[in-house]
Amino acid sequence: MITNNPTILYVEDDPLLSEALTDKFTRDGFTILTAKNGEEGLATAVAQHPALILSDIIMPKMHGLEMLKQLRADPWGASVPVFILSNLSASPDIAEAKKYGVVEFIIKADFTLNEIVAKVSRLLVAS
Amino acid sequence: MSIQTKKIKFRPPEKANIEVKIEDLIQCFPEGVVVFNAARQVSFVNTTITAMTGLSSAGFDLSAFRRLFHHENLTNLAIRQVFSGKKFLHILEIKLTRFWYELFLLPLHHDTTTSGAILMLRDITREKEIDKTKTEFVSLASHQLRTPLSIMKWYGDMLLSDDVGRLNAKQQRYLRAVYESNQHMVDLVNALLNVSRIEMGTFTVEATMTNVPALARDVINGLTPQISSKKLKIKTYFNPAQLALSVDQQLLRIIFQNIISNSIKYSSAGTSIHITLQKNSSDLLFTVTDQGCGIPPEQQEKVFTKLFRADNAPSASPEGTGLGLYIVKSILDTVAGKIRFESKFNSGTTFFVTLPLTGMKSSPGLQTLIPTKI
Repeated sequence: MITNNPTILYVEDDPLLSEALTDKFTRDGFTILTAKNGEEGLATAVAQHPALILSDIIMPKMHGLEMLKQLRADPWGASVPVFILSNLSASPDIAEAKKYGVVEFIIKADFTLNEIVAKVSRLLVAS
Repeated sequence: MSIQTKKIKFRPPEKANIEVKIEDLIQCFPEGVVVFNAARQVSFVNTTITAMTGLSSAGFDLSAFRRLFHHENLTNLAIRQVFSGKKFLHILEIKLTRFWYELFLLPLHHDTTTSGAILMLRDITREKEIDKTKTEFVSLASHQLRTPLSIMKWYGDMLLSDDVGRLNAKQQRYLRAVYESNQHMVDLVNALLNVSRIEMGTFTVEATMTNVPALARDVINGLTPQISSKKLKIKTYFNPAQLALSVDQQLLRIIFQNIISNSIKYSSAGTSIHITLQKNSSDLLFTVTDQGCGIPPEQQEKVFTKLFRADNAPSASPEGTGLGLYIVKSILDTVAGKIRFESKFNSGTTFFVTLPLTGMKSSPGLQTLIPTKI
């Protein structure tokens, strides 16, 4: 279990997925901020400076890759670690995400929350 | 009652005397055609190619053509080789503005000499649009299917892990049945996506130097939970212990993972599985031998077909998709590998996979195949 209570931003439009991940990460010692689209996600990220951002891609108002592109233009946002949590697996989407320096591209349906927590924890410890 | 028969005299029609000029025929082709003589001068241009390129007979030469179409394979060397009769040039896809074409440049032979060449352009724009629509549909469909599957997976896993309180034994059992069925759906969606990418011929092969025995060991280690739960004995023989080959790691991992996990699925508890890697003079041989349920002889010819599961498979392993071996064979067909098996019903099966020591040849594609998660 993580001990220093890092703050993670989770950008996801599906309320059930958002609730499940928030519950799990909170129980495991994280502080979770949520946003339901890329526009909200960008504003929250820039205002709150989370240690890491987890983001979906397909969202209303602003999708995840556009949010990422604008985030990287911000001086702080240029280096914040970003995990993509998506159910898209098309290579062009993955390549586009990697262009903006995401640390992981995870297919949500392929990973349990325990596994996602473990990946996030390892990354935060390493950084 | 008697049936009366009558002889009828039949006179075949007189042969029609039709003179067809080859040029008039080629003018009707939907493909663009240019005929060159041995000196690379244009002998004939049909109206289709003028419509495609804007180049008329007067302005048509190969330099103008090369300036219009940019493709790494449309080189002076390639053109010289065609006109010397040594090779033909075939470019699967070449673009001009928003249109896509398939290009052929073929030597023309008269007796034993090369008398020129013929250039043909086939418009494949509509086929590309259909392919793009299919790809987008499959991508969208799999994305939409995966969302509820993710929800069930995440909540199911939290409940089974006692994250929100302990379930009684029966609740655990029922929920595990739901969770495992959900996982089966997730695997099926991934497998169907791979099948779609294979069938559209759009998957990438990206070869890098890889320690093949190390990759095999990694795959086996990843299957430890399944191996332990059935108390299987895994024996490996890798000769040599280290071997670097130029392969697409993801594709090779899919091959190893599918074949080894099949052996695990269809083996009875406590039995052995032998996994070998052997370097021969021109190829690498990978074998997996189990003491499992085997494949009924009358069904063996269907093993590599889509969605096939032998009649004895579901009872041994309810969760198979019937797509794994089809995907493995399709990959091997693409990378010049081979697969075969020997199986005895109720006794066991051995799969043999060979890869050339020259490795896999990289080829660009639109998509990678989805790795099987270990």
